[in-house]
Amino acid sequence: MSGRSRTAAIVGVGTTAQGELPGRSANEIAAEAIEAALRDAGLDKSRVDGLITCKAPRTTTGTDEQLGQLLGMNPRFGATLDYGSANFSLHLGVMAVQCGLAETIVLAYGTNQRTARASFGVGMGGGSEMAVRAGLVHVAGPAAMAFRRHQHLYGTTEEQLAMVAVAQREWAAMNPLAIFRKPLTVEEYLAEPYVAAPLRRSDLTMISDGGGALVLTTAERARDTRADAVHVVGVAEQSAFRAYQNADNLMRPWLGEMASRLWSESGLVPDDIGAVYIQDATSVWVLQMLEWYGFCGLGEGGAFLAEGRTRPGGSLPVNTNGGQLSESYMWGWLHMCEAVRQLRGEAGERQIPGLEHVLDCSTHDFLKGAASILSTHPR
Amino acid sequence: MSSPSLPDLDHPVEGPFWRAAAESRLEVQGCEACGYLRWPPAPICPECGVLGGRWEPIPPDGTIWSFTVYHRPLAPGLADEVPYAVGLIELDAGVRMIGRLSAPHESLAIGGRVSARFAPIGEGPRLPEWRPAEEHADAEAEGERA
Repeated sequence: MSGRSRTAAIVGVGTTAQGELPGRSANEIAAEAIEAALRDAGLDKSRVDGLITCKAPRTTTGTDEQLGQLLGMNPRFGATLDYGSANFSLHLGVMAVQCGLAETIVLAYGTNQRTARASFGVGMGGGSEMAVRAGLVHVAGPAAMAFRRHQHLYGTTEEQLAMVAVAQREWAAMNPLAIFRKPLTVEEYLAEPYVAAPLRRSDLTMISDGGGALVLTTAERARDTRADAVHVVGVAEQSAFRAYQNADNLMRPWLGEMASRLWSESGLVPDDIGAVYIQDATSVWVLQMLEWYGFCGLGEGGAFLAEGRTRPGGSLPVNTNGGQLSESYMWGWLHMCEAVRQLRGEAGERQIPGLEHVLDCSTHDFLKGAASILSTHPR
Repeated sequence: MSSPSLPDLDHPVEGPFWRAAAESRLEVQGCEACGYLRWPPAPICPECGVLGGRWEPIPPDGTIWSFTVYHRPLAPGLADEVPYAVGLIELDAGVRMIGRLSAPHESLAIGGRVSARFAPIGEGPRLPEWRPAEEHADAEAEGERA
């Protein structure tokens, strides 16, 4: 690479209260998260020359133009992602930093989807009207099909899947920001009625209001900003836009190809990772990604979970914030804020000692995926 | 229904599918250049990029890749339909379709053979529903006897 090559580092994170925030717009919430992230970075908005935002689900709010105006900013670079979960937004920020479009970028997401009663009962047919007419609505349906297929191929059980929700609730109990902190047992999980069989309520993300924000800058500038900057040392993305035209698409084998690229390009291996953050629209995502990222073999995710590997005290802490099943539904933004706080050693009771590298991975339904490796040191 | 409006039989892309379904035929587009069978309907072949495509009937037979049973209505209009089963069907012709599975839920299994039956939705349009292949064959035989 040329001398212009730069790496990017996260120097600030900001989170708002989560849950129900009545009377507040999505943009107000995002603005609050940005102010919090700038305070965390110790930066004034005059130092910010980039603004990356994402729209709240199925709304027109959350654009860079609206937030720039609200915050009184005229950044050099502005962009909005329609689906801006934290990973996809972060990658856009890394690109902007690397090519010199901006030096210090704030990235944010805010939503009032709970108090606005946003509907997530949308069609999941990969573009097919017939699928919607058949009643394939909400992410629960295809996730349930994916889990049933996993059961069929590998003998995975509902008791094993329960450990995703149970372990994350154990983590959430130690997270003051989390919405669901009441303990959940496997027995209580199994006693829940099916929503879309074989999935239950505790397998599905909650719907909540809230916001999250990051401040991203060059590794050079990060040194002057925060001594404990968190470095982005690996990124990968992959799409599956052809949806059901792809074989076994609900199992998302394309995530495995993406993970191979992530490991080979970062020079790291799964054993180097001290904690994993998985954007968990459903518990099934956790099962799938543990396997595709190589933390266990294909089909072994159920046993891996049942052994308690992902819970507090386990060998591979997963979603130490509680994830979207227990903390809040923030499109992965709170996963990334938690990853940064863990790498900085600020996670209190749930702090993982000696953390050096974490993996943060996301998917957008069955259509695309993104992953980042965040580290305490530049590569 | 989750889609409140009836299918548009005159829709420029999807219309031919619904017109064939109204006559109890399952049709998909075949690319006139590369022969790829396309689902869902689209104005361009996703394999080779050639415009258009000829609608052709395919055997309405396939295998259940997986399925789910909705116990709660997760979109408006489905309250009267739960519990209902939806599956991903791998058709023998090579396309994959999502469809309602019309069978006792405890009898459903991955790998089960199913065939389409065309159920009326409103006046005229019909929607393919998938039934166990044997039951379907029995029903047809009964129809012939009657």
